[in-house]
Order: sequence, then C-alpha cells, then structure tokens
Amino acid sequence: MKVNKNSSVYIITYATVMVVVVAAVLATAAMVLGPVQNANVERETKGAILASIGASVPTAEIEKAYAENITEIAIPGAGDLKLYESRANGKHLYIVPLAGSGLWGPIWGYVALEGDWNTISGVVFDHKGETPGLGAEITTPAFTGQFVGKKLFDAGGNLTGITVLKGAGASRGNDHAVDAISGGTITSRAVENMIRATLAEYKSYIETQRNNEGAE
Amino acid sequence: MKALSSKNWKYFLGPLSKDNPVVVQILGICSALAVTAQLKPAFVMTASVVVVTAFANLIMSLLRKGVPGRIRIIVQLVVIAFLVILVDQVLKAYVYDVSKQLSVYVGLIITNCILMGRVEAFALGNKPWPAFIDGVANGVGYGVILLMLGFVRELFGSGSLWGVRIVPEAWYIQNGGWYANNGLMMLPPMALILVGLIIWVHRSSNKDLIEK
Repeated sequence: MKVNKNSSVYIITYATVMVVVVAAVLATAAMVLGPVQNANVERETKGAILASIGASVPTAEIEKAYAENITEIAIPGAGDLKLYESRANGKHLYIVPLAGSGLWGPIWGYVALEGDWNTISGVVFDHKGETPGLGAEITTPAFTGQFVGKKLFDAGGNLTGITVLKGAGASRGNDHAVDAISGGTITSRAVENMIRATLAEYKSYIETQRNNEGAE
Repeated sequence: MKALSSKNWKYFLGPLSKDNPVVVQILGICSALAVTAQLKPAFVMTASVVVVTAFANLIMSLLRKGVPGRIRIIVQLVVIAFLVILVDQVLKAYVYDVSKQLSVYVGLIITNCILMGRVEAFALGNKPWPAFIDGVANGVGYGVILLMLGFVRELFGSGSLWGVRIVPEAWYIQNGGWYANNGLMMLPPMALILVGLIIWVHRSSNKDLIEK
C-alpha cells in the first residue's frame, strides 16, 4: 500500500505519535534522574553552608559533616525565616541564608557571622544563570575572600551592609566595602542589594540576640 | 563496512576547516561569544554540541523516509529540543558542577543554527552513518573555534588557563608589578573581534574561500 505522506491524516498521525513518544521518553528520563538531581541540589546547599564556615568537605562526606556541625534555628514569630548555627573547630558562628536576584536570574548565598553578629567569617555565593566569566565570578574565592573580616553594622549599630566599589583595590581599608567584578557590575550590585535586603529582615532578631548576649 | 571511506573522511574534515560552521558559514556566533570567556565552559559546551549535532543528524537521517515534507521543520525542532533536554538532564544528574557553569547556554543549544542547518542540509538527504559523521564533524568544527577563543580570552583576560594561574601574581600592578589583565577580553565584543581575526587569517590561507 502506498502511503500519501502529504495527506492530513498521515501528518496528524505522524505528529501525534512523535509527540507521545518524545513526551514518554522525556518523562521517564525526568523520573529516573529526578532523585539524583534533587540529591545533588540538597548536597550542594549543605556544602555551601559548610563552605561559608570555611570547611571545604569532599562531596562524599558532606552529609556526615553537615549532620555533625550544623544546627538549624527557626526564628520565632517570623514566618519561615531561619538561620544556622555552627560550633565546628571551637568557633561559634551564625550562618544567615541570603537570596536575591542577579542580572539573569536568582542569586543566593550564605554569610557566616562571628559571635558578635557583625564580623563576617566567610561567605559563599551562587547563581542560577549569571554570565560565565563575568557575573558568575561572584562564586570565586577571589571575590568571596574579600568579605572575610568585613562588618555589616557600623559602630552605632546601623546596618551598612557591604558596598561594591569600582576599581581594583578601591575598597582597601574600608570595613564595609569590597571590590566589584569587572564586566559584572550588575551582578556585583545585586550581591550588595541582596546582603542589605536580607540582613534588614534579620535585623530585629540580631539586635535581640546582641542585647541578650550583652546582658548575660 | 568501510567505516571511514574516503568520502566519509571528507565529510569529517570539511567542517574542520574549509566548511567550518563558525568562521565560514558564520553560524553559532551567539554562543561562541557567550561561553568563551573561560576555557572550561567552552570545552563542555563543545562536548554538548557534538553530542546533540551527532544524534540529531543520526535520528533525522533514520526518520528521513517517513517525515512528511510539510512539517519536517517542526519534526527537526522536536528532535533537537528532545536531545538538548536529555543532555541537560544528564548533565544535571551526573556532572552537576559543569551543568551549573553552563547554565542557560545548554538550553540555548536548541537555537544554535548549526543544528537546524546540518539536519536540513545533510541528514535529510543522506544515510545514517555519514549523517552521524557530519554531525560530529560540525560539532567539532564549532568547538575548535570555541576553544581558540576560550584560550585567548582566558589567558589575556584572567591570566589563567582552565582555572590554573599562568601569569604570576607578582606581575600584577596591584602587587607592585607591571601587568594588568585586559578587561576587554572578558567582554563579548572582544570575542567578536577575535572571530573576525580568525576569519581573516583563515581566508588569507585558503584563497578559494575569497569571493570574487
């Protein structure tokens, strides 16, 4: 039997079969690979929290190191705001999760604060789709390393956040600033805004904690 | 079975030089500018494109006798999108770090003109094995240019290669030296200028490519 490949019946049948087959294969792939991908995402989150306190842990040991060192604190009466606490290596650190929007998509990170709730002990940043080599450089140690030792609040207790400045070395000696990334200005500013906006949400909790600790 | 007959060998070598998709056909320029600020993403992008062009060509060549002519472009798009989603899912599951580095550009392989170009021009009119070779060769031809750009841009823009520092820290001005990275190298316009230079050199050494 000769099939007319230009008949409507043939075209519609062909398209329908093709779409069903492709959808079935992709759905199967998503179901099979989904758990592996989710495990990657979860492990990455835990790895990022560990990285913010300066612990670089091989991928295989992340789950164990996380369970041993990190505890989660839910902030009472503040919706789903939460932070993390670590007492690894004899240092008491508080880890605040950050979230904001970059140039092309979401950016996020974790900032670990010393016991004074002010000095930064370490940060990690990550992003969904910033430009490789430009905005995506916020994840590199060259950028995140600059935050160590900087302060989020000024002497009067006002939230200053961390400002990004143009030019290599422009932030030297400034406790509240770091150098921005060349070619990644919008992402750099997004990091600045993310830190300021997120810390503003935690401000009242942090103030309470500082006062409590002062009173003890 | 002559896996690499002289004809197939020609299909393979063409896209590497005289029929290069980027510098001769001027296809796939967008992603060539976007992912080449560093060598590593350029390499992974190359590998992903090779896989997709090879299998898109293979599948379309196998289907070529049954595809209704009127909807063949849509069929090609579905096959290409299908492969790209599959590659993206596999990268996310097994090489999570790399997939994050490429971010949106894996998905954007779908819009790479090289794919539709090869499927339409070659796979629909040839047997599966030559089509597969043609796909691999065009992916590699695209990748060669990407790697050249990645090499030059990372070396002069960041002073490193594959993330490994090449230019000593002590040479930099901020450390009391005399050297500074070329910021323009990190930006896409410089990649376009580099592509132009490659085209210039390539045409000068292949006189038959020069239009009258």
